[in-house]
Amino acid sequence: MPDINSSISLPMPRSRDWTPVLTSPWFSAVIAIGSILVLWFVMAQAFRPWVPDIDATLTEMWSNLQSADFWADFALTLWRVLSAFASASLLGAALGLLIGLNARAEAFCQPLLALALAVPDPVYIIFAILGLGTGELAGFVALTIAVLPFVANIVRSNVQARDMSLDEMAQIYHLPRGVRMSAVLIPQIVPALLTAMRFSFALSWKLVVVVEAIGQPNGIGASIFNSFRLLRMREVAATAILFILAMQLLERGVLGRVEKKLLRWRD
Amino acid sequence: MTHDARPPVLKVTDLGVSYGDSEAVLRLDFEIRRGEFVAILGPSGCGKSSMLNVLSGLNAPSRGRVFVEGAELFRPGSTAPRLGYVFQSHRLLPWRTVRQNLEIALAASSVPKDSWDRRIDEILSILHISQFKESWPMRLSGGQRQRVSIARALLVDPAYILMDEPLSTLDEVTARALREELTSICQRTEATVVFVTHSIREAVFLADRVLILTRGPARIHEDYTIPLDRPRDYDDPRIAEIEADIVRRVQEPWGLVRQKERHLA
Repeated sequence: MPDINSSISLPMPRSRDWTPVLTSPWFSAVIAIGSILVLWFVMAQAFRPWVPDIDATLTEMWSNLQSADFWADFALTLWRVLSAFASASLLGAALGLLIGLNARAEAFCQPLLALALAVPDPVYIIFAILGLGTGELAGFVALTIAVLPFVANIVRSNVQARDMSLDEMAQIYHLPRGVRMSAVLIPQIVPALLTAMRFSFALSWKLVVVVEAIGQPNGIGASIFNSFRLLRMREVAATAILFILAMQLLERGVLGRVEKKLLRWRD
Repeated sequence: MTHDARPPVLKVTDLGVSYGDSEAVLRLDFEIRRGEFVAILGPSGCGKSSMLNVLSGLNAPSRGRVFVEGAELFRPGSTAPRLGYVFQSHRLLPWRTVRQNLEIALAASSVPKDSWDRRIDEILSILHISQFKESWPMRLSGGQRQRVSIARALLVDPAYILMDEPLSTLDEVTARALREELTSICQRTEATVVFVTHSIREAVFLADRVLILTRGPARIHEDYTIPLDRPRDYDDPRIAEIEADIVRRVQEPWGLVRQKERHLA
Protein backbone atom coordinates (compact mmCIF):
# COMPACT_ATOMS: atom_id res chain seq x y z
CA MET A 1 0.00 0.00 0.00
CA PRO A 2 1.50 3.32 -0.95
CA ASP A 3 2.44 5.64 1.85
CA ILE A 4 0.20 8.64 1.50
CA ASN A 5 2.34 10.72 3.84
CA SER A 6 5.36 10.51 1.60
CA SER A 7 3.78 12.51 -1.19
CA ILE A 8 5.92 14.02 -3.88
CA SER A 9 5.49 17.75 -4.24
CA LEU A 10 4.91 18.53 -7.88
CA PRO A 11 5.18 22.07 -9.23
CA MET A 12 1.64 23.45 -9.48
CA PRO A 13 0.77 25.28 -12.69
CA ARG A 14 0.85 29.01 -11.83
CA SER A 15 -2.53 30.56 -12.40
CA ARG A 16 -2.58 34.19 -13.51
CA ASP A 17 -3.47 36.66 -10.77
CA TRP A 18 -6.57 38.53 -12.02
CA THR A 19 -6.99 40.65 -8.89
CA PRO A 20 -5.53 43.88 -10.35
CA VAL A 21 -7.77 43.61 -13.42
CA LEU A 22 -10.90 42.77 -11.42
CA THR A 23 -10.37 45.62 -8.99
CA SER A 24 -9.45 48.26 -11.58
CA PRO A 25 -11.94 51.10 -12.17
CA TRP A 26 -11.84 50.39 -15.91
CA PHE A 27 -13.11 46.88 -15.37
CA SER A 28 -15.99 48.20 -13.24
CA ALA A 29 -16.83 50.75 -15.94
CA VAL A 30 -16.82 48.09 -18.68
CA ILE A 31 -19.10 45.87 -16.57
CA ALA A 32 -21.46 48.81 -15.89
CA ILE A 33 -21.67 49.82 -19.57
CA GLY A 34 -22.11 46.18 -20.62
CA SER A 35 -24.95 45.77 -18.12
CA ILE A 36 -26.70 48.87 -19.46
CA LEU A 37 -26.39 47.61 -23.05
CA VAL A 38 -27.76 44.19 -22.07
CA LEU A 39 -30.67 45.83 -20.23
CA TRP A 40 -31.30 48.13 -23.19
CA PHE A 41 -31.29 45.15 -25.57
CA VAL A 42 -33.80 43.24 -23.40
CA MET A 43 -36.04 46.31 -23.04
CA ALA A 44 -35.90 46.96 -26.80
CA GLN A 45 -37.06 43.38 -27.44
CA ALA A 46 -39.82 43.61 -24.84
CA PHE A 47 -41.17 47.11 -25.55
CA ARG A 48 -40.69 47.54 -29.29
CA PRO A 49 -41.19 50.16 -30.78
CA TRP A 50 -41.22 52.40 -27.66
CA VAL A 51 -37.68 51.45 -26.74
CA PRO A 52 -35.49 51.74 -29.87
CA ASP A 53 -32.86 49.17 -30.92
CA ILE A 54 -29.24 49.83 -30.02
CA ASP A 55 -27.94 49.73 -33.59
CA ALA A 56 -30.73 51.98 -34.91
CA THR A 57 -30.02 54.48 -32.15
CA LEU A 58 -26.30 54.45 -32.90
CA THR A 59 -27.09 55.09 -36.60
CA GLU A 60 -29.33 58.00 -35.59
CA MET A 61 -26.60 59.41 -33.32
CA TRP A 62 -24.14 59.33 -36.22
CA SER A 63 -26.56 61.15 -38.52
CA ASN A 64 -27.21 63.70 -35.72
CA LEU A 65 -23.50 64.38 -35.52
CA GLN A 66 -23.51 65.17 -39.23
CA SER A 67 -26.60 67.38 -39.02
CA ALA A 68 -26.27 71.19 -38.91
CA ASP A 69 -29.67 71.46 -37.13
CA PHE A 70 -28.42 69.27 -34.28
CA TRP A 71 -25.29 71.39 -33.79
CA ALA A 72 -27.35 74.62 -33.90
CA ASP A 73 -29.64 73.26 -31.17
CA PHE A 74 -26.65 71.96 -29.25
CA ALA A 75 -24.85 75.33 -29.36
CA LEU A 76 -27.98 77.17 -28.24
CA THR A 77 -28.60 74.78 -25.33
CA LEU A 78 -24.95 74.87 -24.32
CA TRP A 79 -25.06 78.66 -24.23
CA ARG A 80 -28.19 78.54 -22.04
CA VAL A 81 -26.59 75.98 -19.71
CA LEU A 82 -23.35 77.93 -19.33
CA SER A 83 -25.02 81.31 -18.79
CA ALA A 84 -27.43 79.90 -16.17
CA PHE A 85 -24.59 77.95 -14.53
CA ALA A 86 -22.31 80.99 -14.41
CA SER A 87 -24.90 83.38 -13.01
CA ALA A 88 -26.21 80.87 -10.44
CA SER A 89 -22.67 79.96 -9.34
CA LEU A 90 -21.45 83.54 -9.03
CA LEU A 91 -24.56 84.94 -7.34
CA GLY A 92 -24.93 81.86 -5.14
CA ALA A 93 -21.29 81.96 -4.04
CA ALA A 94 -21.50 85.70 -3.31
CA LEU A 95 -24.71 85.24 -1.32
CA GLY A 96 -23.23 82.26 0.53
CA LEU A 97 -20.16 84.28 1.48
CA LEU A 98 -22.28 87.19 2.67
CA ILE A 99 -24.57 85.00 4.77
CA GLY A 100 -21.65 82.99 6.11
CA LEU A 101 -19.72 86.06 7.23
CA ASN A 102 -22.50 88.36 8.40
CA ALA A 103 -24.88 87.37 11.18
CA ARG A 104 -27.45 90.02 10.20
CA ALA A 105 -27.44 88.91 6.58
CA GLU A 106 -27.87 85.34 7.76
CA ALA A 107 -30.80 86.25 10.01
CA PHE A 108 -32.47 87.97 7.06
CA CYS A 109 -31.64 85.48 4.30
CA GLN A 110 -31.80 82.14 6.10
CA PRO A 111 -35.64 81.80 6.11
CA LEU A 112 -35.74 82.87 2.46
CA LEU A 113 -33.05 80.36 1.60
CA ALA A 114 -34.89 77.57 3.43
CA LEU A 115 -38.06 78.43 1.53
CA ALA A 116 -36.23 78.61 -1.81
CA LEU A 117 -34.68 75.19 -1.20
CA ALA A 118 -38.11 73.69 -0.49
CA VAL A 119 -39.74 74.92 -3.73
CA PRO A 120 -39.74 72.27 -6.51
CA ASP A 121 -37.75 73.42 -9.57
CA PRO A 122 -40.64 73.16 -12.09
CA VAL A 123 -42.55 75.73 -10.02
CA TYR A 124 -39.85 78.33 -10.75
CA ILE A 125 -39.99 77.46 -14.43
CA ILE A 126 -43.79 77.75 -14.60
CA PHE A 127 -43.85 81.06 -12.72
CA ALA A 128 -41.04 82.47 -14.84
CA ILE A 129 -42.89 81.57 -18.06
CA LEU A 130 -46.12 83.03 -16.66
CA GLY A 131 -44.38 86.22 -15.58
CA LEU A 132 -41.86 86.75 -18.37
CA GLY A 133 -43.30 84.83 -21.32
CA THR A 134 -41.51 82.14 -23.30
CA GLY A 135 -38.47 84.23 -24.25
CA GLU A 136 -34.86 83.64 -23.32
CA LEU A 137 -35.13 85.71 -20.13
CA ALA A 138 -37.76 83.46 -18.52
CA GLY A 139 -35.56 80.38 -18.78
CA PHE A 140 -32.48 82.22 -17.60
CA VAL A 141 -34.24 83.70 -14.56
CA ALA A 142 -35.96 80.42 -13.66
CA LEU A 143 -32.72 78.47 -13.84
CA THR A 144 -30.73 81.01 -11.88
CA ILE A 145 -33.34 81.18 -9.12
CA ALA A 146 -33.67 77.38 -9.00
CA VAL A 147 -29.93 76.66 -8.72
CA LEU A 148 -28.76 79.67 -6.68
CA PRO A 149 -30.09 78.56 -3.24
CA PHE A 150 -28.21 75.25 -3.44
CA VAL A 151 -24.93 76.97 -4.23
CA ALA A 152 -25.49 79.64 -1.55
CA ASN A 153 -26.30 77.01 1.05
CA ILE A 154 -23.19 74.90 0.36
CA VAL A 155 -20.92 77.97 0.42
CA ARG A 156 -22.54 79.41 3.57
CA SER A 157 -22.10 76.22 5.59
CA ASN A 158 -18.45 75.93 4.55
CA VAL A 159 -17.69 79.57 5.33
CA GLN A 160 -19.08 79.06 8.81
CA ALA A 161 -17.12 75.83 9.28
CA ARG A 162 -13.80 77.42 8.25
CA ASP A 163 -10.64 77.23 10.35
CA MET A 164 -10.93 80.26 12.63
CA SER A 165 -7.33 79.91 13.79
CA LEU A 166 -6.23 81.04 10.33
CA ASP A 167 -8.43 84.14 10.67
CA GLU A 168 -6.64 84.83 13.95
CA MET A 169 -3.25 84.42 12.26
CA ALA A 170 -4.34 86.84 9.52
CA GLN A 171 -5.44 89.36 12.14
CA ILE A 172 -2.20 89.10 14.13
CA TYR A 173 -0.09 89.56 11.00
CA HIS A 174 -2.32 92.49 9.90
CA LEU A 175 -3.15 91.00 6.53
CA PRO A 176 -5.23 93.50 4.52
CA ARG A 177 -8.91 92.66 4.08
CA GLY A 178 -8.49 91.81 0.38
CA VAL A 179 -5.62 89.42 1.11
CA ARG A 180 -7.58 87.79 3.92
CA MET A 181 -10.39 87.17 1.46
CA SER A 182 -8.27 85.96 -1.46
CA ALA A 183 -5.52 84.09 0.40
CA VAL A 184 -7.17 82.88 3.60
CA LEU A 185 -10.94 82.60 3.22
CA ILE A 186 -11.60 81.74 -0.45
CA PRO A 187 -8.99 78.92 -0.68
CA GLN A 188 -10.56 77.33 2.39
CA ILE A 189 -13.92 77.10 0.68
CA VAL A 190 -12.59 76.09 -2.76
CA PRO A 191 -13.53 72.42 -2.22
CA ALA A 192 -17.05 73.53 -1.30
CA LEU A 193 -17.17 75.91 -4.27
CA LEU A 194 -16.17 73.09 -6.59
CA THR A 195 -18.84 70.82 -5.12
CA ALA A 196 -21.34 73.66 -5.55
CA MET A 197 -20.20 74.18 -9.15
CA ARG A 198 -20.52 70.50 -10.01
CA PHE A 199 -23.97 70.43 -8.45
CA SER A 200 -24.93 73.69 -10.12
CA PHE A 201 -23.75 72.46 -13.53
CA ALA A 202 -25.52 69.11 -13.24
CA LEU A 203 -28.76 70.81 -12.19
CA SER A 204 -28.42 73.54 -14.82
CA TRP A 205 -28.23 71.30 -17.87
CA LYS A 206 -31.07 69.09 -16.72
CA LEU A 207 -33.30 72.09 -16.01
CA VAL A 208 -32.37 73.76 -19.30
CA VAL A 209 -33.67 70.70 -21.15
CA VAL A 210 -36.93 70.89 -19.16
CA VAL A 211 -37.27 74.66 -19.80
CA GLU A 212 -36.69 74.13 -23.53
CA ALA A 213 -39.18 71.28 -23.65
CA ILE A 214 -41.85 73.36 -21.90
CA GLY A 215 -41.39 76.80 -23.33
CA GLN A 216 -38.79 77.15 -26.08
CA PRO A 217 -39.08 76.59 -29.84
CA ASN A 218 -35.44 75.53 -30.19
CA GLY A 219 -32.62 73.80 -28.37
CA ILE A 220 -31.97 70.17 -27.44
CA GLY A 221 -34.92 70.04 -25.02
CA ALA A 222 -37.32 71.34 -27.69
CA SER A 223 -35.87 68.90 -30.25
CA ILE A 224 -36.37 65.95 -27.86
CA PHE A 225 -39.92 67.08 -27.11
CA ASN A 226 -40.76 67.44 -30.83
CA SER A 227 -39.43 63.94 -31.56
CA PHE A 228 -41.48 62.61 -28.64
CA ARG A 229 -44.66 64.26 -29.99
CA LEU A 230 -44.08 62.53 -33.32
CA LEU A 231 -43.31 59.26 -31.50
CA ARG A 232 -39.82 59.10 -33.03
CA MET A 233 -38.28 57.34 -30.07
CA ARG A 234 -35.04 56.60 -31.92
CA GLU A 235 -34.46 60.36 -32.32
CA VAL A 236 -35.37 61.00 -28.66
CA ALA A 237 -32.84 58.46 -27.48
CA ALA A 238 -30.10 59.52 -29.91
CA THR A 239 -30.36 63.24 -29.09
CA ALA A 240 -30.61 62.63 -25.35
CA ILE A 241 -27.60 60.29 -25.28
CA LEU A 242 -25.42 62.66 -27.29
CA PHE A 243 -26.33 65.60 -25.07
CA ILE A 244 -25.77 63.62 -21.84
CA LEU A 245 -22.39 62.43 -23.09
CA ALA A 246 -21.35 65.99 -23.99
CA MET A 247 -22.40 67.32 -20.57
CA GLN A 248 -20.57 64.52 -18.78
CA LEU A 249 -17.48 65.25 -20.83
CA LEU A 250 -17.68 68.93 -19.88
CA GLU A 251 -18.27 68.19 -16.21
CA ARG A 252 -15.55 65.59 -15.84
CA GLY A 253 -13.15 67.18 -18.29
CA VAL A 254 -13.30 70.90 -17.56
CA LEU A 255 -14.48 70.94 -13.94
CA GLY A 256 -12.27 67.94 -13.15
CA ARG A 257 -9.20 69.75 -14.47
CA VAL A 258 -10.07 72.94 -12.62
CA GLU A 259 -10.47 70.91 -9.45
CA LYS A 260 -7.15 69.15 -9.93
CA LYS A 261 -5.34 72.45 -10.49
CA LEU A 262 -6.93 74.30 -7.58
CA LEU A 263 -6.43 71.44 -5.12
CA ARG A 264 -2.93 70.40 -6.24
CA TRP A 265 -1.54 71.33 -2.81
CA ARG A 266 -3.34 68.30 -1.37
CA ASP A 267 -1.46 65.76 -3.52
CA MET B 1 25.65 95.51 28.77
CA THR B 2 23.25 94.93 31.65
CA HIS B 3 19.56 94.20 31.12
CA ASP B 4 18.52 97.49 32.62
CA ALA B 5 20.50 99.49 30.06
CA ARG B 6 18.37 98.19 27.22
CA PRO B 7 15.15 100.06 26.37
CA PRO B 8 11.89 98.25 27.17
CA VAL B 9 10.11 96.95 24.08
CA LEU B 10 7.07 95.78 25.98
CA LYS B 11 5.77 97.31 29.18
CA VAL B 12 2.68 96.04 30.94
CA THR B 13 1.18 97.84 33.92
CA ASP B 14 -1.66 96.65 36.14
CA LEU B 15 -2.96 94.36 33.37
CA GLY B 16 -6.22 92.60 34.11
CA VAL B 17 -8.46 90.46 31.91
CA SER B 18 -11.89 89.36 32.97
CA TYR B 19 -14.82 87.67 31.27
CA GLY B 20 -17.96 88.90 33.00
CA ASP B 21 -17.45 88.26 36.71
CA SER B 22 -14.66 85.77 36.11
CA GLU B 23 -11.10 87.12 36.33
CA ALA B 24 -8.54 85.42 34.06
CA VAL B 25 -5.56 87.70 34.71
CA LEU B 26 -4.98 89.94 37.76
CA ARG B 27 -2.71 93.00 37.96
CA LEU B 28 0.28 91.96 35.91
CA ASP B 29 3.25 94.33 35.86
CA PHE B 30 6.37 93.55 33.87
CA GLU B 31 8.80 94.91 31.32
CA ILE B 32 10.62 93.11 28.54
CA ARG B 33 13.75 94.72 27.15
CA ARG B 34 15.15 94.67 23.65
CA GLY B 35 16.82 91.38 22.79
CA GLU B 36 15.54 89.64 25.91
CA PHE B 37 14.18 86.10 25.84
CA VAL B 38 11.53 85.91 28.54
CA ALA B 39 9.66 82.72 29.32
CA ILE B 40 6.24 82.86 30.89
CA LEU B 41 5.65 79.80 32.99
CA GLY B 42 2.31 78.88 34.44
CA PRO B 43 0.10 75.87 35.03
CA SER B 44 -2.57 74.93 32.49
CA GLY B 45 -5.61 77.20 32.59
CA CYS B 46 -3.90 79.97 34.56
CA GLY B 47 -4.75 82.68 32.01
CA LYS B 48 -1.69 82.57 29.76
CA SER B 49 -3.83 82.58 26.61
CA SER B 50 -5.85 85.57 27.82
CA MET B 51 -2.60 87.42 28.43
CA LEU B 52 -1.26 86.46 24.99
CA ASN B 53 -4.45 87.67 23.32
CA VAL B 54 -3.82 91.08 24.86
CA LEU B 55 -0.11 91.15 24.01
CA SER B 56 -0.89 90.16 20.41
CA GLY B 57 -3.43 92.98 20.09
CA LEU B 58 -6.36 90.61 19.53
CA ASN B 59 -8.28 91.55 22.69
CA ALA B 60 -8.23 94.72 24.76
CA PRO B 61 -7.56 94.22 28.48
CA SER B 62 -10.29 94.83 31.04
CA ARG B 63 -7.92 97.11 32.87
CA GLY B 64 -4.30 98.26 32.81
CA ARG B 65 -2.08 99.49 30.02
CA VAL B 66 0.27 97.94 27.47
CA PHE B 67 3.09 99.90 25.85
CA VAL B 68 5.02 98.68 22.81
CA GLU B 69 8.19 100.66 22.09
CA GLY B 70 6.74 103.49 24.15
CA ALA B 71 3.39 103.70 22.31
CA GLU B 72 0.28 102.67 24.18
CA LEU B 73 -1.86 99.96 22.62
CA PHE B 74 -5.65 99.93 22.59
CA ARG B 75 -5.96 103.70 22.72
CA PRO B 76 -8.24 105.32 20.14
CA GLY B 77 -6.16 105.86 17.01
CA SER B 78 -3.32 103.59 18.15
CA THR B 79 -1.96 101.05 15.70
CA ALA B 80 -1.81 97.31 16.35
CA PRO B 81 1.59 96.01 17.53
CA ARG B 82 4.12 94.93 14.90
CA LEU B 83 4.81 91.41 16.08
CA GLY B 84 5.65 87.90 15.04
CA TYR B 85 3.69 85.00 16.46
CA VAL B 86 4.64 81.35 16.59
CA PHE B 87 1.54 79.37 17.42
CA GLN B 88 1.27 76.00 19.08
CA SER B 89 0.23 74.57 15.72
CA HIS B 90 1.97 76.11 12.72
CA ARG B 91 -1.05 77.90 11.17
CA LEU B 92 0.52 78.02 7.73
CA LEU B 93 -1.78 78.32 4.73
CA PRO B 94 -1.66 74.80 3.22
CA TRP B 95 -2.59 76.07 -0.27
CA ARG B 96 0.47 78.35 -0.39
CA THR B 97 4.05 77.23 -0.71
CA VAL B 98 6.59 78.04 1.98
CA ARG B 99 7.76 81.08 -0.01
CA GLN B 100 4.19 82.27 -0.56
CA ASN B 101 3.39 81.87 3.14
CA LEU B 102 6.34 84.07 3.99
CA GLU B 103 5.47 86.60 1.30
CA ILE B 104 1.95 87.00 2.61
CA ALA B 105 3.29 87.99 6.03
CA LEU B 106 5.75 90.37 4.38
CA ALA B 107 2.95 91.94 2.31
CA ALA B 108 1.39 93.28 5.48
CA SER B 109 4.69 94.51 6.91
CA SER B 110 6.72 97.62 6.16
CA VAL B 111 9.54 95.61 4.56
CA PRO B 112 10.23 96.95 1.04
CA LYS B 113 9.22 94.52 -1.70
CA ASP B 114 12.58 94.57 -3.48
CA SER B 115 14.23 93.00 -0.44
CA TRP B 116 11.70 90.19 0.07
CA ASP B 117 13.57 87.54 -1.93
CA ARG B 118 16.86 88.21 -0.18
CA ARG B 119 15.27 88.20 3.26
CA ILE B 120 13.33 85.00 2.59
CA ASP B 121 16.47 83.25 1.34
CA GLU B 122 18.41 84.44 4.37
CA ILE B 123 15.87 83.37 6.95
CA LEU B 124 15.28 79.98 5.31
CA SER B 125 19.01 79.43 5.28
CA ILE B 126 19.31 80.34 8.98
CA LEU B 127 16.57 77.83 9.78
CA HIS B 128 18.06 75.17 7.47
CA ILE B 129 14.96 74.83 5.31
CA SER B 130 16.13 76.49 2.08
CA GLN B 131 15.41 73.30 0.14
CA PHE B 132 11.71 73.55 1.05
CA LYS B 133 11.20 77.06 -0.32
CA GLU B 134 8.79 75.92 -3.03
CA SER B 135 7.24 73.04 -1.07
CA TRP B 136 3.64 72.81 0.09
CA PRO B 137 3.37 72.81 3.91
CA MET B 138 1.59 69.45 3.82
CA ARG B 139 4.75 67.88 2.43
CA LEU B 140 6.80 69.01 5.45
CA SER B 141 7.28 67.32 8.81
CA GLY B 142 5.94 68.90 12.00
CA GLY B 143 9.39 70.28 12.89
CA GLN B 144 9.90 71.74 9.41
CA ARG B 145 6.50 73.43 9.50
CA GLN B 146 7.31 74.95 12.86
CA ARG B 147 10.61 76.22 11.43
CA VAL B 148 8.63 77.95 8.65
CA SER B 149 6.36 79.41 11.30
CA ILE B 150 9.41 80.75 13.17
CA ALA B 151 10.78 82.13 9.87
CA ARG B 152 7.47 83.94 9.30
CA ALA B 153 7.64 85.50 12.75
CA LEU B 154 11.24 86.65 12.37
CA LEU B 155 10.77 87.95 8.85
CA VAL B 156 8.38 90.82 9.52
CA ASP B 157 10.81 92.94 11.57
CA PRO B 158 8.74 92.46 14.70
CA ALA B 159 9.02 94.60 17.81
CA TYR B 160 8.70 91.31 19.68
CA ILE B 161 7.81 87.70 18.99
CA LEU B 162 5.19 85.80 20.93
CA MET B 163 5.66 82.05 21.06
CA ASP B 164 2.80 80.02 22.47
CA GLU B 165 4.17 76.59 23.42
CA PRO B 166 5.52 76.18 19.87
CA LEU B 167 7.43 72.98 20.58
CA SER B 168 4.81 71.19 22.63
CA THR B 169 3.37 69.25 19.69
CA LEU B 170 6.76 67.98 18.45
CA ASP B 171 8.55 64.80 19.41
CA GLU B 172 11.29 65.27 22.01
CA VAL B 173 14.22 64.78 19.62
CA THR B 174 12.91 67.40 17.16
CA ALA B 175 11.92 69.74 19.98
CA ARG B 176 15.40 69.49 21.52
CA ALA B 177 17.08 70.32 18.19
CA LEU B 178 14.74 73.26 17.62
CA ARG B 179 15.28 74.61 21.14
CA GLU B 180 19.01 74.74 20.54
CA GLU B 181 18.56 76.42 17.17
CA LEU B 182 16.02 78.83 18.56
CA THR B 183 18.44 80.20 21.14
CA SER B 184 21.19 80.72 18.57
CA ILE B 185 18.79 82.29 16.03
CA CYS B 186 17.34 84.66 18.61
CA GLN B 187 20.82 85.69 19.71
CA ARG B 188 21.91 86.18 16.12
CA THR B 189 18.85 88.24 15.15
CA GLU B 190 18.64 89.98 18.56
CA ALA B 191 14.93 89.18 18.64
CA THR B 192 12.85 90.04 21.67
CA VAL B 193 10.87 86.93 22.58
CA VAL B 194 8.01 86.17 24.93
CA PHE B 195 7.89 82.39 25.15
CA VAL B 196 4.93 80.77 26.87
CA THR B 197 5.45 77.27 28.16
CA HIS B 198 4.48 74.94 30.95
CA SER B 199 7.77 73.05 30.72
CA ILE B 200 10.12 74.31 33.45
CA ARG B 201 13.23 72.78 31.89
CA GLU B 202 12.42 74.34 28.52
CA ALA B 203 11.97 77.73 30.19
CA VAL B 204 15.28 77.40 32.04
CA PHE B 205 17.15 76.31 28.92
CA LEU B 206 15.79 79.02 26.65
CA ALA B 207 15.17 82.12 28.69
CA ASP B 208 17.10 84.98 30.22
CA ARG B 209 14.25 85.49 32.68
CA VAL B 210 11.27 83.40 33.69
CA LEU B 211 8.04 85.05 34.81
CA ILE B 212 6.39 82.49 37.05
CA LEU B 213 2.62 82.89 37.16
CA THR B 214 0.28 81.68 39.85
CA ARG B 215 -2.73 79.47 39.21
CA GLY B 216 -5.64 81.35 37.61
CA PRO B 217 -6.43 84.15 37.83
CA ALA B 218 -2.79 84.69 36.89
CA ARG B 219 -0.52 86.97 38.91
CA ILE B 220 3.24 87.16 38.73
CA HIS B 221 4.56 85.00 41.53
CA GLU B 222 8.22 85.58 40.77
CA ASP B 223 10.50 87.17 38.18
CA TYR B 224 13.32 84.61 38.07
CA THR B 225 16.61 85.47 36.33
CA ILE B 226 18.42 82.43 34.92
CA PRO B 227 22.01 82.60 36.16
CA LEU B 228 23.57 80.77 33.20
CA ASP B 229 25.68 81.99 30.29
CA ARG B 230 25.08 80.97 26.68
CA PRO B 231 25.41 78.67 24.89
CA ARG B 232 23.70 76.24 27.21
CA ASP B 233 23.56 72.48 27.20
CA TYR B 234 20.14 70.92 27.72
CA ASP B 235 21.75 68.15 29.77
CA ASP B 236 23.81 70.53 31.92
CA PRO B 237 23.32 69.48 35.60
CA ARG B 238 22.97 73.17 36.52
CA ILE B 239 19.81 73.35 34.37
CA ALA B 240 18.42 70.39 36.31
CA GLU B 241 19.31 72.16 39.58
CA ILE B 242 17.55 75.37 38.55
CA GLU B 243 14.58 73.33 37.36
CA ALA B 244 14.39 71.63 40.77
CA ASP B 245 14.65 75.02 42.46
CA ILE B 246 11.77 76.42 40.39
CA VAL B 247 9.70 73.28 41.07
CA ARG B 248 10.16 73.94 44.80
CA ARG B 249 9.14 77.56 44.36
CA VAL B 250 5.95 76.79 42.41
CA GLN B 251 4.63 74.17 44.87
CA GLU B 252 2.58 76.71 46.75
CA PRO B 253 1.42 79.10 44.00
CA TRP B 254 0.43 76.24 41.69
CA GLY B 255 -1.48 74.50 44.50
CA LEU B 256 0.76 71.43 44.39
CA VAL B 257 1.28 71.38 48.17
CA ARG B 258 -2.42 71.21 48.84
CA GLN B 259 -2.82 68.48 46.20
CA LYS B 260 -0.03 66.46 47.83
CA GLU B 261 -1.54 66.89 51.33
CA ARG B 262 -4.94 65.86 50.04
CA HIS B 263 -3.38 62.81 48.40
CA LEU B 264 -1.56 61.81 51.61
CA ALA B 265 -4.69 62.34 53.71
